[in-house]
Amino acid sequence: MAVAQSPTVVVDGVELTGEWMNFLPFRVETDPFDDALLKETMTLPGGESLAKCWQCGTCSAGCTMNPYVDGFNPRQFIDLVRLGDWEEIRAKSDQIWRCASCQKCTHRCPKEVNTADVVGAITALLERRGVYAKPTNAEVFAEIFMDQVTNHGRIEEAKMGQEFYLKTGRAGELAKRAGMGMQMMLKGQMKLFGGAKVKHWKGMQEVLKRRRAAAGGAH
Amino acid sequence: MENVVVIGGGPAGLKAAAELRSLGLDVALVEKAGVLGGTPVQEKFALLAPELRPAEEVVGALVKAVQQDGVQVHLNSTVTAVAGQGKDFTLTVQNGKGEERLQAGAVIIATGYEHFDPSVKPEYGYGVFPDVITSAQLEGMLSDGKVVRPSNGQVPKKVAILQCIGSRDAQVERKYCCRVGCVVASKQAVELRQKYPDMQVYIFYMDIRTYGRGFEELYWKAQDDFGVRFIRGRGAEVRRRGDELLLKAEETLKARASETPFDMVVLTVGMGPSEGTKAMASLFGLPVAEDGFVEPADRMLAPVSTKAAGVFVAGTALGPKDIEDAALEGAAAALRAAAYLKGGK
Ligand code: SF4
Ligand code: SF4
Ligand code: SF4
Repeated sequence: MAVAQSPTVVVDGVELTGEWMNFLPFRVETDPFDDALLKETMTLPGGESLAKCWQCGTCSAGCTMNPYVDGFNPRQFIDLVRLGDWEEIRAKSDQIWRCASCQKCTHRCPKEVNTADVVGAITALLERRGVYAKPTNAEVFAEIFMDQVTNHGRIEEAKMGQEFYLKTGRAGELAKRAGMGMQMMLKGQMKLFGGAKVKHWKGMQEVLKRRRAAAGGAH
Repeated sequence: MENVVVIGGGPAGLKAAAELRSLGLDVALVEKAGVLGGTPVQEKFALLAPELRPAEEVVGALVKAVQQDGVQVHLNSTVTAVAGQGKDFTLTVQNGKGEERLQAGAVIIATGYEHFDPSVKPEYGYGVFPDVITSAQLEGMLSDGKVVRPSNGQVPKKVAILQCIGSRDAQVERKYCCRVGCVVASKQAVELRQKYPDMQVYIFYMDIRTYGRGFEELYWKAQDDFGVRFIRGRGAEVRRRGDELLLKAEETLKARASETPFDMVVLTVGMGPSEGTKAMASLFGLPVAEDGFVEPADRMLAPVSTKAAGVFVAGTALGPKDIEDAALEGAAAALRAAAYLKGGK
């Protein structure tokens, strides 16, 4: 069969072959079909089986986290990596991190994809590129709480509240609660300017030291 | 009369002829081309799916059986007229030198298929852009051991294979599936990746239909072991920008239609009845179905018989199928013809 015999297809006086279409503007997108991200993810631990996925959706349908986290969809995470769509992966980082590592997906995948590990590899990809999950409110609260205990031996409510609202990006709410804080201070339930350590700071440090040792010297 | 004329020297006709000889009947084989083997030989099939066996090895064996078994072979010949019926047919055969007549107690029609001509769908740019080729052309390149862009003779870096071109398409009045395109594309993609490990190969599909034994496994192999990328979405059109082709296709899972550069676009073309099949259907007065292929007496119960007594049919004259199934039907038609001549039905 010979190539390029240039048959001209003319309908109602208009030539309709591919060249004709070239007057239309181009809207070229390369990213949907770029293998670089796929290859990179497959080199990360757990990512080896990624390319085997045929997008059947068994994993997402049975996934533990899917009903709880809006947009948590391991099948789609895999697809986005295959397409090389880094922007979408980044935009979904908050969801991707929520995997419970329950392995249901891996046990059900008909194509021998180790889906749970692949999701893990995608999180590793995010980490490698410096994208970290936004901590939850509870995590932010716990961090401020522990900070105060280890630095002052006590909790300062005003500072606690202030930092919590600021760190979770809710300065507006902080302003709304200001009235309540005022009342608490007037009733002596909360101090505005604390900052002092507990009276027995030395003893407290001793307690903290022992707790750390008991916890395996993690801190 | 204990003899049979087989029309068509492809896998179905070859197998029918050899089986008839093994049953002790006299056989004449009429082939339009100058060589035996049919489309697999004429279009230079390289490796056969799903086992990746050289086509030469398989079709060559079928040809050899016919040559060794004393089949009377008429090359460059076409049947132009038929007279008589029942167990007494006279066929007029035209060849380069003139006309001759063949007597036959029964006839087996195995006149095959031909590939869809994609220039019927100008949006794919076939025949306009040299780097848009058919799966049959790619097969020829693989056979020759070198896959290059016809435009510049260079090995393409990024290849898109578009499935179902001229199949499953009401626009071209072909609603049926070609049945082999998916396994053939998987096979070709494996061959490409094997030969050129740096080449990116994308297959754009609506459904992957790998029904035959070993077909699905080959599809898995393409995906799992050779990194062939399967994109669910049907290619829509091809344009040119400079020396690259731009393919418009939707990645349907992402609901995103895009236009992406490729170096080469391969159209996995469907199967339609060959000119020979159409001609024989009308010559023998056989009904053809809506899809254009010969309608057998009963698709389930008498799949290689026709409503004309003594006329049998096999292979892709009955619709798209692979070499394995075509040869199987050839053997079945041989048995039916022999039984018919022995006084059965
Ligand atoms: S179950 Fe396996 S093959 Fe199916 S979408 Fe999930 S990972 Fe992919
Ligand atoms: S391991 Fe993660 S992705 Fe897999 S089912 Fe469990 S929560 Fe879902
Ligand atoms: S076998 Fe595959 S390529 Fe051929 S028509 Fe069917 S689905 Fe399309």
